[in-house]
Amino acid sequence: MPIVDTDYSAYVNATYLIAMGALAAALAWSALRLMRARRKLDEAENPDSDPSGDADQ
Amino acid sequence: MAVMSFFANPHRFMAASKWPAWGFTALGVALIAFGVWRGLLAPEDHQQDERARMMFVHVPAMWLSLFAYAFMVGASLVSFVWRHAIADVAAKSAAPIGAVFTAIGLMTGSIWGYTTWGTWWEWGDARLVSVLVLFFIYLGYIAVWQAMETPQKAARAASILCLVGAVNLPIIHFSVEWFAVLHQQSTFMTTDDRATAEFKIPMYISALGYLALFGGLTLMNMRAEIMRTRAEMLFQRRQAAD
Repeated sequence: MPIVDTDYSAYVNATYLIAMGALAAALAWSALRLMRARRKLDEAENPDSDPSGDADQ
Repeated sequence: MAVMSFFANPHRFMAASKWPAWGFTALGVALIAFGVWRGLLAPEDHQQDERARMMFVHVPAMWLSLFAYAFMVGASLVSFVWRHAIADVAAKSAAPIGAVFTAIGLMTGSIWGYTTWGTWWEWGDARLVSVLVLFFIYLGYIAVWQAMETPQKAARAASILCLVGAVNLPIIHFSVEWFAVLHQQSTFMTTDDRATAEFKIPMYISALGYLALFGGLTLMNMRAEIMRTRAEMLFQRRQAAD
């Protein structure tokens, strides 16, 4: 007779970890994208404030 | 219509969206954290035992994957008909977030399916396959924005793709009624809704959290997109002047 595994806690925890990990990644990606865009706009609006002169285009 | 006209100006949009972007995101994180906590404390279901707790992450993700696409359809329609400057940005910014919700729904659904049906995936199940198609439409939409020569062409092509892809939304929703599928029929917000408060409260809190997070992240991405476009325009102007 096959042994039926009825302990599903690992599966439940895995779904929560996947969901929270994906949402955290989406949040981090969006925040990073916003910060990079802000920096790029600052460089474009104030070109003299970038001493290295290697504005990321 | 007046609100639509008001936000057609990117400067007004940027001024009005700064705090809502972070506010909705913070609200979303707080509600999701509360929903997860309540979800993990929810009692075992008489049929699904502890597996029922998976629905607090799976179901809101699926709801939001459909909502995000419906939002994109609305924005694409506005862009297509009225050439609204912000509508394109809204649809483009919502796409990656909607794709993430769909990916969460597919992965968590696959795990839940394995524990319930004994299989990670079933190609004969119309609900599973139509959601996978939705995920590919999201990826295709994102790819169209990257592939076209100019933003105007990309916006036009992406809007058409988005509007055509809308036919998949009713298929996803009604697939459990139209076809013989492994996936169960809708439980929440139906005339046959017998879920108790112990399940409904974490479910709706999580769903509200996902909705707020979607709003916050979409606004963040819209703001990033507008800033990046403006920066590129300024760089081009400076290069032309040099």
